[in-house]
Amino acid sequence: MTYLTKYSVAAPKERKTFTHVKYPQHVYWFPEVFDKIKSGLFYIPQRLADKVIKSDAGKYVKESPHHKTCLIVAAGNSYMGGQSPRPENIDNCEISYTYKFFPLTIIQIFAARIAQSLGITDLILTDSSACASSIKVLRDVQVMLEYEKYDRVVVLAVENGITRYMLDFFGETKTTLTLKDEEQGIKPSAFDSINHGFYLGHGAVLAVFEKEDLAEKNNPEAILQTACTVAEVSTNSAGQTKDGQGYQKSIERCLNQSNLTPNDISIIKSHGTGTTTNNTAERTAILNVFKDTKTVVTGYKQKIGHTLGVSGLLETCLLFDDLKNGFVPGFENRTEKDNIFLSEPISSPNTGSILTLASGMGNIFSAAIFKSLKVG
Amino acid sequence: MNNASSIDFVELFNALLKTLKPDDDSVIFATSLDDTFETLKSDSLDIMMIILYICEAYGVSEETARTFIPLSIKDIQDFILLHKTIDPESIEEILNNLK
Repeated sequence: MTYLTKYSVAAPKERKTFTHVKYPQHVYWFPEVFDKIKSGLFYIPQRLADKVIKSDAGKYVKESPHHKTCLIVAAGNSYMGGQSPRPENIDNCEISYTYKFFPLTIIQIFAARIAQSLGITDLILTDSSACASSIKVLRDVQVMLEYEKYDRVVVLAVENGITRYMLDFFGETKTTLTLKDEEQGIKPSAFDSINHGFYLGHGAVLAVFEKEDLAEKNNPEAILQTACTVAEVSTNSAGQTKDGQGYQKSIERCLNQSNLTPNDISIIKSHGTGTTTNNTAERTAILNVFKDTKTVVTGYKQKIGHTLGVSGLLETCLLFDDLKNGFVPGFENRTEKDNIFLSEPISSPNTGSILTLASGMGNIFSAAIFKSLKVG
Repeated sequence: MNNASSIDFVELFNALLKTLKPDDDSVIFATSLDDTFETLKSDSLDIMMIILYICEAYGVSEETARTFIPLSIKDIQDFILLHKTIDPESIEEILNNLK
């Protein structure tokens, strides 16, 4: 069995308005990671990673190095390494910079440096499965622990989405909320007929997974019951089909792999971007599988921003925190009321598993099922 | 430009290494100008980055910096004293001025 022993998250709470970009919009960010960046000498993903490496989970790995350990860096979108996000004609923008060190933009080299700092030398892997990345790697975690006989797998998910390219791209595709949208009264939300969409964000999560014998000595947080990744039948390489077949396939495969039924799932942590397409696809899949159950659906992107490849695992860990505090949160700014998609917080259910979903551009759908061991 | 510096390059090297890898317990800090990067088990990327940090602080062009392949901290000091166009007064000033 695979246990989640420790985790640490870095999720921004500070909101910032960027006006010197093509589509002015808000982001959730850590302003300090942009300190002195104009020289190109400082590396934003490293600074985000430092936030969780210095935390309890990082210390735990460093202080108990004598186990066969694999590091997986879930880096989301491969250009995270830092093709120049320097904007043309907007040099006064706070996110203008060009990295001086090309080798550090190669994710495997970045990962090797992270491994050095954590004292991991057995195996270093990387993943760039877009916004599904940090959930997609959970299958790799299981394989490493259950078949490859590693004692421990450390997952670092880190990505900086706050670049001019990303702000332009998401603004242009009408996925992030722009100031123009907000002037019309729209607020970030998901699965709602009035409010929709998200702000970009960035962050990191460090999660330590271990085999049963090691984890049980260390007061584990949760059991990873299963994980899977699928593609859907589609002619659109970037988008999702409205019938939700990708999400549905990933959910059904996860249930099959773990010998669970829809009734065994008490909470779904949705991908929940709140875009029109995702609202339709993810809602359809969830209702197709869970319509006759008491399962509830929650999501975090409207609270902390869309942290892209980091989002799946980071949001799942935030849910573990909330469960410990005795509640499951509702979607921010959701105006509709129903029994499935939460608009208000509810008390933590005492039983049942958690299904977490993630989807990435490039036709990738990942799902994982956890059992939290510390419900408040 | 005066061919000297009030700054101890061993201390400067260590301060920049700490800036670069603030939380890496495996880092070996230098104790002497004659320490080589081989004996310090330095990562080649770290050395490249430290050279660019120092060259920026002393006003040496990036183009010149990238041609330089030092083997020890003394090599860095000799190179900087030869090519510098700025004379920072302290390590603190160097760290503060990196933009």
